Amino acid sequence: MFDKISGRIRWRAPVAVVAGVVLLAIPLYADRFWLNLGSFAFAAAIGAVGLMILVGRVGQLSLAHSFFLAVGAYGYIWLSSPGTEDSWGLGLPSLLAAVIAVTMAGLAGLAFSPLAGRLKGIYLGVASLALVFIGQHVLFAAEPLTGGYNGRNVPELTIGSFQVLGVEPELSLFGVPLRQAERGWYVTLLVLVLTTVFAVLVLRSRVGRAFAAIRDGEVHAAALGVPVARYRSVAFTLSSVYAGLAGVLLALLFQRVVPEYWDLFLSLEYLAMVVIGGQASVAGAIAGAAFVSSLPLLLQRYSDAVPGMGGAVSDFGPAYVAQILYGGLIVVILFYEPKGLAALATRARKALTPRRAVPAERTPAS
Amino acid sequence: MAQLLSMLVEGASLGAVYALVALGIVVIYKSSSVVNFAQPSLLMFGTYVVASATSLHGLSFWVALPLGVAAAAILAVLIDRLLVSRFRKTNAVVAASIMTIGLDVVLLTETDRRIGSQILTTDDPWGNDVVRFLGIGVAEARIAALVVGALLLVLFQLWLHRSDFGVAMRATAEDPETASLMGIRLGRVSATAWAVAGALAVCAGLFIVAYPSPGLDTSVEAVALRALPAAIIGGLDSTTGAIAGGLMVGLSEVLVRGYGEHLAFLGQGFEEAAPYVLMLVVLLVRPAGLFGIREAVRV
Amino acid sequence: MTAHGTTAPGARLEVSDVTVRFAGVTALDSVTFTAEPGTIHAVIGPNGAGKSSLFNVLSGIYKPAGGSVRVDGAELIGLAPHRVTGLGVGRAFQNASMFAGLTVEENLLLGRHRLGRGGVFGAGLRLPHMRRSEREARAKVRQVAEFLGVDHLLPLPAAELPYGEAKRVDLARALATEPRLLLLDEPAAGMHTHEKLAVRDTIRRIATEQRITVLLVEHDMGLVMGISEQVTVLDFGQVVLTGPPDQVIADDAVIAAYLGRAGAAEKERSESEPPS
Ligand SMILES: Nc1ncnc2c1ncn2[C@@H]1O[C@H](COP(=O)(O)OP(=O)(O)OP(=O)(O)O)[C@@H](O)[C@H]1O
Ligand SMILES: [Mg+2]
Repeated sequence: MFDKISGRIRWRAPVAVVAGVVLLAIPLYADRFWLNLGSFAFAAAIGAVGLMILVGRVGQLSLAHSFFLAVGAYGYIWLSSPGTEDSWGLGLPSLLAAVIAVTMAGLAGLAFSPLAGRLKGIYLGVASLALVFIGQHVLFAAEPLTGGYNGRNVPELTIGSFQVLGVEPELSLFGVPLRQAERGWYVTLLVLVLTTVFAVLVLRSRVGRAFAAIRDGEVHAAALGVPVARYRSVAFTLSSVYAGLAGVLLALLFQRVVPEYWDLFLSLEYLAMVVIGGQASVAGAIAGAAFVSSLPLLLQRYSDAVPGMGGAVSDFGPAYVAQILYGGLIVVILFYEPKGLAALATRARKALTPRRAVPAERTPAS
Repeated sequence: MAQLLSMLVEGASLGAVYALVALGIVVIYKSSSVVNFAQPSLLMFGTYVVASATSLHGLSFWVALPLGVAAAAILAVLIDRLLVSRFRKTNAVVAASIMTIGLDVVLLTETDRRIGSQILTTDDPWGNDVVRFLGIGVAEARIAALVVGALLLVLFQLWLHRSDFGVAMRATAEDPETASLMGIRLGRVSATAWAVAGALAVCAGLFIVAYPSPGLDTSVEAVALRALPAAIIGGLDSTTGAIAGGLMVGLSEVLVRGYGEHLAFLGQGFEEAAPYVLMLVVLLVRPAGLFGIREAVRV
Repeated sequence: MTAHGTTAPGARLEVSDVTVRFAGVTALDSVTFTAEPGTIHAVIGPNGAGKSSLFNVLSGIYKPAGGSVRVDGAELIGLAPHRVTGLGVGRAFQNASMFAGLTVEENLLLGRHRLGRGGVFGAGLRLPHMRRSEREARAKVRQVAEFLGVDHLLPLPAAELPYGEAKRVDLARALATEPRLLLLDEPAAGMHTHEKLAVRDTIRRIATEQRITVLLVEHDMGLVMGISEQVTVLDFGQVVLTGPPDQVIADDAVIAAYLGRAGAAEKERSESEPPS
């Protein structure tokens, strides 16, 4: 018992330190493209961790993630923008707006609990489709909120006169100026680390055990005193809070958002992140998010180098390739290795530390 | 009054079409406990085969039709045999259902690429005529959809209740283990179900793209997806429910569109969200759908 | 003081007129009996007699068509399963299925779920009340595990337990809920003779040392007759009779119920049970 824990710590601590130093140092060397790539990946990873909790740990499918991302994003825009004649806004201080927007996403998730608590697995997946389509309808219909097809600008996040993701006041680190891209990297990374720690602590607690018990045997869990419906809706609400937070960050990074972005396909991208990550693993979800969110950007940048893919003339553009890859990976991973990237990590760890048995993270595949 | 009547006819016609697709979802669910999210892509695929055969390769509709139906049925059986059956061995039905989501993405991306910005017509026999009766005018294709759809639904229900397959499917839905012990070959039951689901989806697809709709384009998949709420409204394990759900979805869509000016506060284009709202309302009242049965779990 | 730490007296269970129907089958037909506090009360009957269905009613999983079940006077029909557990009804399952993604310790901790405190915020922010509750829970779980001799299994993944050990862990998990009424569904099924003896002693200690009322379903007649104060015989969902073991053994109707069906039932059992 003791050995196992201290062994894990001995193993993990240096890895965490090295990874931390590398992540902190990257903005000193990498250019804008890579920093933006990273910021988007970190923001998406927050959403993916939220969905992972629901799908992988509680065994509940949700296809409504894009809806809650949108609640966060548009909640922030609405609360922080100054209102004008043809666009809604409350003009709140932007940090307050961000906090309230995340809360709104959580409340929206909570409002869904009569269904999120009662419906199980795939049933919830289909029911949650409704939120995406209702959300899309609202986004296109409520032009004063979203700017309709043209989209709407996202107000900057400022604390006093400090532009959190901007250029004022000027900052620098080891002589490297910290502008939008660098700040975006650090801020999203910080939020990701905090929310990940929070998620890990929750999953290790009695709450996380109740989640897993519902996934592995809901009737047994209920008969042992776990209020199944309550925990299902707790998980749904928690995952919508994570989605809302990711939505706020994504909006801030995009600086301008259009309604059509928050559609069903976005939900499927998040599902792909979770599946690729191995469904039940926090680290897997983050890796899956990094993969899925960077893929189109990388394809875009390097498509000229791939024969048949480059330029606007080809059918096989980056979007096509990315979609085929997400869809295909969902199929292939579930078919061959439901534990996804997490399984690779487990294997690598086993290979490096031959004697120690690592308890495998289970997938909800039943 | 006339307006309402024509909306009811159109709604029922569209509903019959949804019912065909939803029925496929239900039959697959009953025979393999998998919710097939790839149903819209089967519809798109088969309909694309028919439309491209007629409008790009000059085949007649009656030649293209069996080609398209067979193509979708074969694709469905392949999906079942090669992919889904493996999940069934470990009873991983949730994973299998999620897998069909991935499959749907792949297939739709590919059909979308092939269709591109074209609008393909199927050269179907109903043409662009409008039938007038009782003071209303309804597109002939809509009447055909209603008649053919109803006919298919009746035949199908009869088949399910009379044939060995129907018995086998219901026994499998009830208790796969016992069914298998009684000599029912589960693999064959599910392959049949998938084939039927593929074929039904194509029949529905051909009516969706018929007049007055302009033809097959990439927006049809959003229409096809509404068969999922239809199946859920009726209850995933009820074929009667699929028909009821299909009709309700079709009617809600047509009525909301028809009374659009009175529903202006809901915003334009609400008819596309209406079926989903209806689904939420039904699920709040009956979590297993209108005709679905909530099974007690044995421990 | 016992290993378990509580000495709250066992509950009195009154089952009256409970009827459960499934399409075509009446699983329970006006079942009525009473189990006295702190006693071991057995429910026996051939396969399909309705024993597990009865337990499912008693733990809130099945809603009966009619009847009443009172635990120390409190009606439990209509309560959700987790509320029934809250009334002090613990349950070990016939199939002893573990939460496969968790360790044995975590499985036992789930038994203590209702006794713990703290939610998402407490956990995510590591608030003191949550950490204290977690510490206490682990200590209690260790006590229960020691009481049942499964403490050496605690760190193992539950999915890897052999059947016999899963049965014992399941019993420990039920005991961890700190029940006043404990429902045991075939706790010795598929065990060897010496394992059965150990289970028998454990059940006896649960009843005598911890004063928990035990409702016991078991096919092993030797075990049942050896430790039960009262026995209720079910057949086709009906109570054939309730009485002390010697009366039950001598009863003609009971013998008929068993002779009529036991042969086939025994055969079926030996086929369906995993080798241990
Ligand atoms: N959820 C259910 N759905 C339909 N029928 C059920 C259900 N649960 C139990 N039954 C039926 O009720 C009857 C009693 O079953 P039950 O499991 O209670 O018997 P049992 O006495 O526990 O048998 P065993 O000794 O084999 O465990 C059986 O005919 C069974 O098929
Ligand atoms: Mg039983």
